[in-house]
Amino acid sequence: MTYSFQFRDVFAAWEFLLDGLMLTLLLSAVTMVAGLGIGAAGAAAKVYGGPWVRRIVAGYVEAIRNTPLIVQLFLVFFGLPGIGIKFDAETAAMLTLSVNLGAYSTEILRAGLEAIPKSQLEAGRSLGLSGWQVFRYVVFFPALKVIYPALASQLVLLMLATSVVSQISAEDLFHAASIIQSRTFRDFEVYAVVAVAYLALALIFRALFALLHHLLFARR
Amino acid sequence: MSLVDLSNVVKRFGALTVLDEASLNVEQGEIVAIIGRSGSGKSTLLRCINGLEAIQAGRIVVDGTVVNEPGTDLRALRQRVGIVFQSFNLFPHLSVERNITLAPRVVKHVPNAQARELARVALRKVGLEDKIDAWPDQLSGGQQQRVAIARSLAMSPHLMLFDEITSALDPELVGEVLKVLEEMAREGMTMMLVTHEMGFARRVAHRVVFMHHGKVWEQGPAAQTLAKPNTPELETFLSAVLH
Amino acid sequence: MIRDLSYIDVLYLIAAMRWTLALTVIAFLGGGIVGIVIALLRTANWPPLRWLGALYVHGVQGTPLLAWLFVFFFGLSIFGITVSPWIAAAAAYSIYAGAFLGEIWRGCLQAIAKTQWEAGASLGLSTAQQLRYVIVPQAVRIAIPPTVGFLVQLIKNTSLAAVIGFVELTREGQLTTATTFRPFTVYLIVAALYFALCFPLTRWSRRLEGRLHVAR
Repeated sequence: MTYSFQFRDVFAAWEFLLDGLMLTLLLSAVTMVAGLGIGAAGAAAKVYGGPWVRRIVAGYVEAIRNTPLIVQLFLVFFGLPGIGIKFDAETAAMLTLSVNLGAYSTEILRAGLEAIPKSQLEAGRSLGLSGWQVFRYVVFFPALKVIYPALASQLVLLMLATSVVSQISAEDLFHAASIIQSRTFRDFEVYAVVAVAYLALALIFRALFALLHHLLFARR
Repeated sequence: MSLVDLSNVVKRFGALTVLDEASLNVEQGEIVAIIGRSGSGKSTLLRCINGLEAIQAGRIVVDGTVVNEPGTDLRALRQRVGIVFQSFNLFPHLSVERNITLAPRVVKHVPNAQARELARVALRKVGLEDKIDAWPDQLSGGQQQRVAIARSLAMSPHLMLFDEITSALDPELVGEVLKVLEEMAREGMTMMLVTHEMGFARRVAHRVVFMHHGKVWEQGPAAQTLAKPNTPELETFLSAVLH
Repeated sequence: MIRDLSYIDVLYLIAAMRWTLALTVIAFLGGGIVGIVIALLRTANWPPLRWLGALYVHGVQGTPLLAWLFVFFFGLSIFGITVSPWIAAAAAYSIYAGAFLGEIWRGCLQAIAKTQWEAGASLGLSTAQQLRYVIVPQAVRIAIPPTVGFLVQLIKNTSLAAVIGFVELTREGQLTTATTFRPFTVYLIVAALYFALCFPLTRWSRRLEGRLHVAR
């Protein structure tokens, strides 16, 4: 059987794709900020906190890292209303993704903090720097440099993982694909176009991270 | 015909010329010590001989095989040319016996029992027969290097290359390795060794080759050349290493 | 028909784990074969082979797994091929796992010092023999911890097959929710079951890694 590819119908629905793209970008941006914030707090708690704090953070990290994102999403969006907590799809998506990224970045950032040798901290201390100053001037940049590649690839993975929110009807790029599919029946074309769009996003993200890496570390 | 014949060999790493028209002959049964500053190209020269490094110009003939020709069976050549490295390079996941018998078994298809006997004989030559079932990380540096020599010997090479094989060893372990080399010299093995051990070179080598700026700068009978260098470069070098 | 959540439902959920595991095994086998090829391409001497491997890895790692599932499940039907969720999932997961395993294994191959290749070569071993007897046995040792770690990722990601109607643990959870209307409890149980699968593997992977560092 012969099949003629028809991308015209798919591109005719570009407004859907654009709207979806905007939500995907928004989700990624918000999640990165919130998730890295959670991760920074988690890492600090894990390295500098008391035994109980450390245990609680470890429990959070393991719970998130050993369960699927989509199940976490379903639990928040479909499950929580059952006990009286309701979110719209976009909020549930942002919340879940942030908590998810928070767990992964806790581990990455912790590894960064622990990569700085104790002698460096002692050197800073012995020069009369305060704890915060030691962190700010001695720990922060070297630690960030160590974990930067891992962090960058985690953030690209996160951007791709946002596609899962389409499954709770959050109208992201992937969701736009299902809408166009249901209107045009151009299944192959639409998912191919969307896959390429994600690929382009991933490449742009990587390029931006590489640029940022250059700006941050080129002269250090 | 010489066992090793290098003529006008040029080797570059990018813009850096490491061997600059180097020429050298080594006869059957000869022991040649190659000396020179680090960066003078002496290790590279050795590595070109068994084809570990490709060259850009010149010609290398070893044991009747042109090394630098496309289509040369380097594997066949390497079975006849053993090399021992500065950093031993034993296989850490294999026992001493397996380290030695790996190549005889998979390259020459020697049966297992016979291969073990081969390992035993090779180890006896380096004085480590009792270590046949040991693992590399259980051995001292000197012992590891002797196993590495045994590993090469088990292939019955026509020529042995030694690339600064005592440089990574603690001083008190150098002697045991050099003793093995002297023993091999007595048995008539053709050997080329890059070394910093001038006393050893004078005692054991027939000929000393001084490399400078990627060229064979000066060569001659060991004792004579080391005692009365012809070129100021060798003289400077010798006075630096002999303090 | 709505009924209450009972222990039978929990048993069904537990039983559904076998499809999660089956899919994981298939993905790991398929991905393993692709991964070996990718690792070899990425470490090849001839640059075009390396580029081909890099193209594959960047392509797959730059697109969502969900997209591969949809392309295979919905997309191929346009060619008149009816694709069962099994086939679509097996294909999509092999492609996906192959890219990640290939990268992990490439790293392990490259972690073996160049001098080990040279030592093999100078004894007359062919490139294939150097790989087989010298490099791979050493690379496998360091590959086990990250490979087990990736297995956890794979188990979790099999949950995405639910969206093409592949009945595994997550899909079974959706179905149970639809009949019992107890989504919170059901998804909590589903999450707990995934945790029960993944957490031991996570711990194991970490222990293996610790042992490797001690051994050096």
